[in-house]
Amino acid sequence: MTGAAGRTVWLASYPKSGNTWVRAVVTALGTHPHLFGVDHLVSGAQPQHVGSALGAYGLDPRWLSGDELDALRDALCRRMGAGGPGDPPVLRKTHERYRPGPPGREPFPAAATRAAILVVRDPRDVASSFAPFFGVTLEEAVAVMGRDGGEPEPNAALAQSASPWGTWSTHAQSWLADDVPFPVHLVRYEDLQADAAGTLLPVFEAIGLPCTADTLAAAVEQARFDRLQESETARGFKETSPRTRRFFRCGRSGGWRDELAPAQATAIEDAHADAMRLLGYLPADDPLHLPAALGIRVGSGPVPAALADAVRPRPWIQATPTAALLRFRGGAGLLVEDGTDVTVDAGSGQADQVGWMVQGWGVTLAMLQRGLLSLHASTVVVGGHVLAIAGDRGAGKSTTSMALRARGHRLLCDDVTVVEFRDGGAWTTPFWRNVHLLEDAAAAVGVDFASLPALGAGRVKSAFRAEDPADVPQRLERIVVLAPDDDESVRVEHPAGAARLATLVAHTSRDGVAPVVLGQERYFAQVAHLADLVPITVVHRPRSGWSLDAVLDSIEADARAPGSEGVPR
Amino acid sequence: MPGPALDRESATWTGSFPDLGTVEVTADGEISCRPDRADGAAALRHGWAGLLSWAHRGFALANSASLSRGDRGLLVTGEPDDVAATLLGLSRQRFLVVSDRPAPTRWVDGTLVAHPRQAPILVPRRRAEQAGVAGTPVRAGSTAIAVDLPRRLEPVQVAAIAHVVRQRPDEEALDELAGARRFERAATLMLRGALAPAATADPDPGAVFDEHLRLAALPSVVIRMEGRDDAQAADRLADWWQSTVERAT
Repeated sequence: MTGAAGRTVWLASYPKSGNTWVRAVVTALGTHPHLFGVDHLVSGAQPQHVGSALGAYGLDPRWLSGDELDALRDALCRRMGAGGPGDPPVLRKTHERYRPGPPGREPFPAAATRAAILVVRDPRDVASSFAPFFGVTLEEAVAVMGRDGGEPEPNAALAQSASPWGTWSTHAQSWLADDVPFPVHLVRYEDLQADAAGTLLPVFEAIGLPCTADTLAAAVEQARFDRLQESETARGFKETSPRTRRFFRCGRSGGWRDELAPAQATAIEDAHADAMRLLGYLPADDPLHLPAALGIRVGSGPVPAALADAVRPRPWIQATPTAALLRFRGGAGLLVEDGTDVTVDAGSGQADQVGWMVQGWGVTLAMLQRGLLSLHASTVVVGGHVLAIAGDRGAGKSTTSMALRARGHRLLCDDVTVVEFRDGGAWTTPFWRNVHLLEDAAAAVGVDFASLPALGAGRVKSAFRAEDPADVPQRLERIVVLAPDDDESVRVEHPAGAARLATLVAHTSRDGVAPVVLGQERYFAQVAHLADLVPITVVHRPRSGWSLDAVLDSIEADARAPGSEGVPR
Repeated sequence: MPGPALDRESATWTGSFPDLGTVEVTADGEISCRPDRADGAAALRHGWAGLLSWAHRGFALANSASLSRGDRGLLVTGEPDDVAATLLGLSRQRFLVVSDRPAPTRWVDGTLVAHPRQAPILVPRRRAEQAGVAGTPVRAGSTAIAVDLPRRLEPVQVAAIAHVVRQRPDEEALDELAGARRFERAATLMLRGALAPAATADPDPGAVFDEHLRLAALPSVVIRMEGRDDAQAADRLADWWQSTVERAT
């Protein structure tokens, strides 16, 4: 990095990412509270607007060619950013992607630039905000965010130079590239929401914006979102799009989960996976990744051949009160200790197998060691009701869950549902993990099996990454047990009394591991408590033949039926 | 420096823009242009030297277009595309163009007078095509074209100011301004800096405030376009003009 000599600090962001919020804080820093309002925000002079050439040079830019507009923009930027390190910064908003230019035609002249602040926001939330602001559908918003080009070209008649946004990904990546010749400070919208003053203070100090922790805290308070909304209501906001009533809409993070259809979220994740991982909006592309909220530490290395003092040891699993050892085909092994530490011995396995072992078995065993119940079940929200789709190995949990997702329901977590009892209910906190699909199941739900990474461990499955779940606890309202049998049609059953306990015991314990780790008495107490709290539906389906649609219809109808609010029938 | 440069310090103002050319403007408004390329001649003359000439002769340049109907003038401000649409619309309502933006003006005995500027009237090509008006591209590849609209060739007393903006949901299509809002709009009407009148390049605050007050005394309206293709916006402005200016006089 060189340069950084001028006064300009580019406040760069893709549209609807928090740029205006930061400007509001900067404005509040320099404005008496009684005079503060969104109708007078600073730093709004975007570089592509070259109409100021009339005042600067007496020149009407509408007469210029595209190349001359570029030169004029460069000159205006230099003029506005002229100064030395001791001068206060001049912040300027831009939605453009960074790009270099030849001398005299630099879109962001390095000699006039001190730094840039890149504000990024989860693109799924950007899409939710982008659509109403620009008056387009969510589908169109998702498409625009993934399309390079189509943004404003040079337009002499409007006194504008080119102002390409790029895609959501290329926008962020352009500003974070190594060849940007000035410092770029990255600010995440989500971090601003968590602690705006703490996030901005080091950035403002770095760019030389006069403030202290106290003055910045006061400015952040002044620019609180609800106050910006009030100000917009009272005095209007000239930057509001003509297509929307409000600029300051809701300003929350994670709202996309309620607003985007699963397919829309997936389209964004597929289109922007690399940048989302880079910025922390998707789990790192690391098969050992687990969310920090789970509190599980993963390491790799050899694991013992056996556990001393194991209770009722079996060839493939051994457990003590604080440790569990699993052995897989191919020599792989997994040691889980104290509910927190997972050691993986991959043996001859591949990296994706390691992810499968940790995400499935590692989490299950760790939660059991903590005294929690871990169901062999996927968590799906159907019609607003949180269901666990349980069943034995091969019962079709993943296929059913993915098919429900394809119908517009939300898949929160595949194959593992960790249950915690509190507040008179059973609660589950979903976490990210790949969905494992057989080839015919992938085809049935419209997923290209061949394009997915193969899953090892002796089973011909592929790993499909669904959308990230919200890592907030969900109250479990129903357990749906998938039960392949010899019937010729799909049949729904609601077991009662002891039959409920038997159903759970028979269909929810992952290969009988839970009683080994928890101990028989504790395990049965937990399952009995769960059976007492949560209604159970058994969906019998023909073992042979294809009955997926009927199974889905039954689950949807059952979720809508009275008694789906978590009260056992 | 590869960008434009302007020197207003000498009696003869000089401007240069590498690859476009240079301009000179004498104190009595005479201009000379030396384009680097043939297609830059009109840009230098109409887009630069001509404007400096008005300023050098002591005219104040409003950041607006000026029109007239009858013996009264109207200034129209706004984004370039919106002002162009309004010019095209008002020309169908018997308005004559006095000047495309910026508009030369001068105070005469407390009255603001708009002066005709003969430079071509520029509008976005798409806007002209939509209005069925033929035009000539000003530069190769430019989105701006010069159109031929009915003109007024004599100065005219300014009787009102219109500000054209885009309408947002729940906003009125026409909003007559009063009080502080009228003053706020008036305070940003005149161009400063390079196009400030030569004699008042650095006016004292009292004089500036006095000018704002005089501008704010003129009837002023915000016309909101419902989308960029709202052809009725100019009609609403013409109706307002008729009721506010023509009936009153």
